[in-house]
Amino acid sequence: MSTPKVIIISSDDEKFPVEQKVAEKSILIKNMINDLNPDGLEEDFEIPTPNVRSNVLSKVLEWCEHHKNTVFADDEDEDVKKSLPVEEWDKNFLKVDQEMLYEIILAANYLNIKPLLESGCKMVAEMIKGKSPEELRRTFNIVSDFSPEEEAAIRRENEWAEDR
Amino acid sequence: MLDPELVENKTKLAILYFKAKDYDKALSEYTSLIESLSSLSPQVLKKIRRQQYNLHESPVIGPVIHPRLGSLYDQRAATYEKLGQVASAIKDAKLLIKIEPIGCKGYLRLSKLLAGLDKTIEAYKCLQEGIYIIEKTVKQYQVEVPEKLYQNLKAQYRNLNQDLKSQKRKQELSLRQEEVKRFKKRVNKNLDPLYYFPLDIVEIIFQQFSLTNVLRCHLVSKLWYYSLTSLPQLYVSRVHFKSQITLSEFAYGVKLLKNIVSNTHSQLFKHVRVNSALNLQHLNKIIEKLITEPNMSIQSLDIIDKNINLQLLYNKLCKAGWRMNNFQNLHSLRMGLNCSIKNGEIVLNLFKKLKKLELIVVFAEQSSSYQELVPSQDKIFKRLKDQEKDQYPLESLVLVNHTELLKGNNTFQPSSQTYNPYPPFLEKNFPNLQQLTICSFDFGNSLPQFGHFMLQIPQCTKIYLENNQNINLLQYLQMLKNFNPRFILDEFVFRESKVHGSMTLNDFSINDLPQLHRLSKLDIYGHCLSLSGLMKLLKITHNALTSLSIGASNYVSFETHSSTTTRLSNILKYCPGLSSLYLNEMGINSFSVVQIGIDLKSVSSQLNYLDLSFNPGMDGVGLIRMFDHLSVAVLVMHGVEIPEDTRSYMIRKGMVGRYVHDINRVKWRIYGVNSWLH
Repeated sequence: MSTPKVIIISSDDEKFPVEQKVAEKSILIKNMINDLNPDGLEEDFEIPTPNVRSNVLSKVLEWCEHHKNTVFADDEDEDVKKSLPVEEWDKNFLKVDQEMLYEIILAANYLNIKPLLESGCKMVAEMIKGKSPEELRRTFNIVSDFSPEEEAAIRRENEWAEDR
Repeated sequence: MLDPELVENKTKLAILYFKAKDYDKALSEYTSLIESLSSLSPQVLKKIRRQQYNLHESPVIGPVIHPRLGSLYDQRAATYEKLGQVASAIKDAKLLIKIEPIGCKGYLRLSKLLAGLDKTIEAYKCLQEGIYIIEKTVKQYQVEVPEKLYQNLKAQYRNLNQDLKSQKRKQELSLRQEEVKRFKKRVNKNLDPLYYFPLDIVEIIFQQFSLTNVLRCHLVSKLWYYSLTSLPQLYVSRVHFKSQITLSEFAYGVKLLKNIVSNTHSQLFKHVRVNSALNLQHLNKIIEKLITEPNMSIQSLDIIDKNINLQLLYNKLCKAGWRMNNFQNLHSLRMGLNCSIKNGEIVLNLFKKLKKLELIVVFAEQSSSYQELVPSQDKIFKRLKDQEKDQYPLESLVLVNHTELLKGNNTFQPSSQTYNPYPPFLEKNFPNLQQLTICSFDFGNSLPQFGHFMLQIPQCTKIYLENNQNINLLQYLQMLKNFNPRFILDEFVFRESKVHGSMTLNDFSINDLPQLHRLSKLDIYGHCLSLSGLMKLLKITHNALTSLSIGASNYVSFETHSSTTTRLSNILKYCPGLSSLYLNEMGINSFSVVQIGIDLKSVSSQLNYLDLSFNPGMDGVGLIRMFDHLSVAVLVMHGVEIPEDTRSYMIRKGMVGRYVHDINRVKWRIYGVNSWLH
């Protein structure tokens, strides 16, 4: 018999059979496998992900496949990690339309795939960073709901900080 | 006239009924007692008060009553409460306040009853009124009130105050969350990230933003404002106030931040930095606000201003009655101050949890006479000053003096009343100290004391001594030998202030210093060792070094034609694990650089960081030849002109991963004290 696979089922019932190692990039799935198969996988194991659409799930699994041998640094150096730019491969991988990017982030959050979540969030951060409020409203199609007085009050409230 | 004994007995009986839970009988006893005591005429009452109870005929405030009447009303109110007749209980309590306005019991009883009816605000107001009236009367008439009851009253007041505040906070928070929800509903399909994502993801998106960047985003929309301000982690660890700040800007910042942290459990500001105020007047007010602002607990405080010094800090604390609330959790204090640095020990006695202390003399001047600021007559100040603890929990101590205050550079000589050039704290005991930094001080008569100090810091792993007077590397190593402290260093930096004459380390009679056995970083920039001395020192490090700086050496150089021409391989054979090497200002030229390349290749395979700054004799051709078969991740070349073509060629060929270079950068000797100001 071949090695048992993990079969991940999307919200629209599409089945994605993958290697255990690939599936375990998701801590959620990893814990589920370990909890329900204390002696290790003996046969194919199905896991439904009821809030991830198939085209998003396939992207997420593509990422897991690519990174199946990547060892990610521990959480210790949080500050260093925060300031690191997104890795080149991830950057290209995440060059998708905005909605897809958002859905990948939500899926990574739900499936608990921290490095993917962080790369995705950094991509969103890049869209926001350095832009003026006006530019941000244009980027995300937001209508300002502040009265001029409220806006002035917030500006005053902001005038104390500097970056170092 | 009623017999006092009879009154006492009847009261006791009523209390017994009460305790036996026979409230009806207790009530009728109390009522008959109250009626008979209330029916007495003022003349009779005055007599009773004087003769039977040894009191003034009439109380300082309130009507003439029988001395026992108050307690009876109080107890009857309690009885009514038990019987479920709260309205009557409240009536009694109110009456009690009227007849005994400075007795605490009435306020306590009434507030308890009101609180039981969920009228917390009214209960709070009742206690507030009571405290106000009692305080005023006590002051005006010098009367005494029962201490225990009064303390109880105050405690109840404080508790209710807390309750109300946390209630209000909860309301505000739920309001804020409501707002966020409301905004989300208004839009249906939307790629606004703050609409789309839950707050924990929003936090990840914004966590790497600079503070001003986050603040700027407040202006986008209400949803953005309310979402971001409900994520305190985006703010509290880097509260950096801008330089030249005014009091009003500062106050706006504090107000906003307090609003943001109000929904966190600890309400703690992890890091606050005040980087200069507009002028002395604003600085004074800002420090006062830092001290007295309620609920602004700070973990790490950075404060830099040309007007600030320790005396000013003590002065403000003294004025605020030594209020330490906001500093109870202070772990780290960093001050960039002017040169009034006396009485530093008080800092240690004030901030008991302090783990990290940095005092950096940033301004070599005094703007006025600070001696006046010292609250030398204050009792607490005196106590703090004389207090001598066995040990302090400090883990890191950084003392940086201004270079201009060293002898010989004295364009300005500060008064000895506020300043002395010797390193402070050397008589203290820091058993947990891990890092010690002392820069630009005079060790003139402190060497033996410094030796003893080193015995008291067995946990120390990092020592950084820079530009100090009257102590040189050889002296220091000799001290390690003589005093033999127990610490084992991981990093050791000793940058000498000037040339002392060649030291061969030959007269240095030992070949071993256990303190340096596990040294991984050695920086002796500007040292005066001869080549053999340097090798002797490196030998002591037992092959553990990963980082070495021997830049600006006075007697070791890589000028080809110099009589002291040095082979790098001789040096490197004692540090096989080296990953970072600094060879600044060592006369490296286009000839010797090639030999250095060969030596590096033959000895050190792990090298990934190489700093060759300020070797102006080098050129692009030599550099490329050096990197033939050699590669490093980072090459630093400040102050050396290398053509752009050469640099990009080296990166293309994989010789260098990153090239760091600033042609206008100044050398460390000139850069000096400023490097501590980041």
